[in-house]
Amino acid sequence: MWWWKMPLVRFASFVLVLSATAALAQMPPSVVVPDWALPDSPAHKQVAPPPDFHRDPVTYNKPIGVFENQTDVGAALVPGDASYDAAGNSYTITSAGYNIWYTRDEFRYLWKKMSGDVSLAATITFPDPDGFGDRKAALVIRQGLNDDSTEALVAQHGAGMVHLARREVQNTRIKDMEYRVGSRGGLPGGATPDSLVTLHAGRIGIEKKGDQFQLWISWQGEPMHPEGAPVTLHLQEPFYVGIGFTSHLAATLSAARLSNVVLENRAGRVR
Amino acid sequence: MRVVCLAALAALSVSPVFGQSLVPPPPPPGVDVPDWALPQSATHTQVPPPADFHRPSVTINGTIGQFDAQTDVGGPLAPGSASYDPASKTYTINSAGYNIWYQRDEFHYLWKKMSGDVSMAASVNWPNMDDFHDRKVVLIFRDSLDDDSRQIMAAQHGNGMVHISWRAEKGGQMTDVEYRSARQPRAGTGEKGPQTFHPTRIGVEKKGDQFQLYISWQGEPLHPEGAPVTFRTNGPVYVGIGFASHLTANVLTAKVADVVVENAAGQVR
Repeated sequence: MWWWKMPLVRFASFVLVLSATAALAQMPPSVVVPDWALPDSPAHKQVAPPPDFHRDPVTYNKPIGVFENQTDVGAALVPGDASYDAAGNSYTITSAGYNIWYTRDEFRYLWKKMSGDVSLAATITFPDPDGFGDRKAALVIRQGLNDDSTEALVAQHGAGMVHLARREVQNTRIKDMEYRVGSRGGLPGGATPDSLVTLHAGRIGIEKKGDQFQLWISWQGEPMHPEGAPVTLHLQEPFYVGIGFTSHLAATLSAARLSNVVLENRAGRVR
Repeated sequence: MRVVCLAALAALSVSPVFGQSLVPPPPPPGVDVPDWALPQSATHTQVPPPADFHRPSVTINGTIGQFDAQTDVGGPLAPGSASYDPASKTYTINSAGYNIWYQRDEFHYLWKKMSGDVSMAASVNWPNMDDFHDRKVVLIFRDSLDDDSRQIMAAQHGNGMVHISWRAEKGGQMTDVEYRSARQPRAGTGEKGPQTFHPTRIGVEKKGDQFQLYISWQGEPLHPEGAPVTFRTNGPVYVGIGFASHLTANVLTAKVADVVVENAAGQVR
C-alpha cells in the first residue's frame, strides 16, 4: 500500500513493533491478555473491548500530593502505583492498562473531587524513552471512577501526539482532536536532513469553564495558549479531577512523570 | 465566551488524511518534466533539484491588492497569475511549481518591499479540496526574487499541515517545524482513517529578527504556535503571499482571504 512507502509510517511501525515486542517479553507469565486488549501492530489490528466488558475500579486509599486518593480505573491486569516528589511538585505514575479509549479505560488515576471551574496543567516526561509509542499521560476530568465514565481529558503520548478527548455518554466510544508536531532539519536524530523528527510538547493543560473544556499547550516554551476549539460536556457536581497514566499494554507496567502540576479551582489559571 | 462563539461560527473544515489527492496528476501533454521535479508518490521518491539548477524569475509589474508586483519565482514550466476581488477581500492565485523546498523554489509570489516589523495573516480556501495534497499557500519574507533566496515563511498545505520553514543561507537547504491536527474517524459513519482539521487562519510576525508562527485551528483566537525562529535580515525584504501547486507543470488554484499585512509587530489577527 502507498502509505507504507512513506518513511515516517515505516519508521513509526518499525518502532511500534520493536517496543511492543519488547514489552510483551516482559509480561508476567501467569497473566493472560485477551486478544481484544492487544494494541495495533503490523501483526494485529487493534479493536474495541467487547461491548459488555467492564472491570470495577480498585481504589487504594492513598492520598498523594494535592490529590485525595488513587484508583486503578478499569483494574488493569497488573496494579499501578504512584509516588510524589514535593521538591519538583512531580508525580511519577506507574501503570499497565490496555488504553484510555473506546468505551472503557484502564489507567492509574490520582484524583480529588471538585465542583465548579478547573485549571489543570503539567509538564510530562517519560522515564523510559523507548517505551511503547502509544502510552499516554493524561489530565482527566471524569464523572466517576467506573471504567466507562463520561470524561474530558488532554493527553500526551509517548510518540508525541497530544489530544483533547471526551466520552460524551457513558459506555460509548471516545472522540478526539489530535495534534502532531515535527521538524525537518531542526531537531537532532533524523536519518537524513529531510527526515521528520517528532517534537514533544513542552507542557499541556486543560481548563474547565462551565461545560466547556479547552486544551492548552506550549510546544516549545512559548506561553501556554488554547489549541483548537473547546468541547462541551456536562458533568454533575462534584466530579473527579486528576492526573493519570496508561502504558497502552494490558499487563505491562510503564511510567510517566508529571511535573510542576498546577491545579486550581477556577478557570483562566492554566499556566 | 468569545472563543466559544467563534468556534461555533467557524465552519470546521475536515477532510480524510488519506485521499485521492495523494496521487499526482500527469503533466499536461507535450511538457517534459524532469525526474527530479516529480513529487513523492507511491512510485517515485522525491529528490532535490540538481545542485547547479536554476531558472530566472519572471516579474509582472503592476500593483495587485496590497502588493506592488507579482513574480513567478523560479520560472515554473507553466506561468502563474493572480487576481484580487476587493468585495470578498480575496486573492486568487494560480500557479504551477515543483515546490518551495530544498535549495530552490518555484511559485507565484505577490510582494512588496518592507523594512522593520511586520504582521501578516490570512485565511486559505481551497477551491478544490481534492487537488494534490502537498500544494501550499505561503506568507513569506525573502531577501530577493532569486529561486534560491534566503527566506522564512508560514505555509498551509492542501493536506492541512502548517509549517514555519526557512532557508538560512542562499542556496542552502530548508528547515521547518510542522504542525498537524486530525481526529479519529467517527463510529457509525463512513469515515475511513483519520480526518484532517484544516486551520481556520495562519499568520507570521516579524519582530526584529524573530519570526513567530501563529495559528487558529478551529476559530480560537490566533495564537503563537511553537517558539519564534531567529532569521537574520538586513534592510528591506520582500514581503507577501504565494502559492505553489507542488506539480512542476500543472497549474492549480488557491484563494487567500482577509490578508493582513501591517508594518508593525503585534498585529497578527
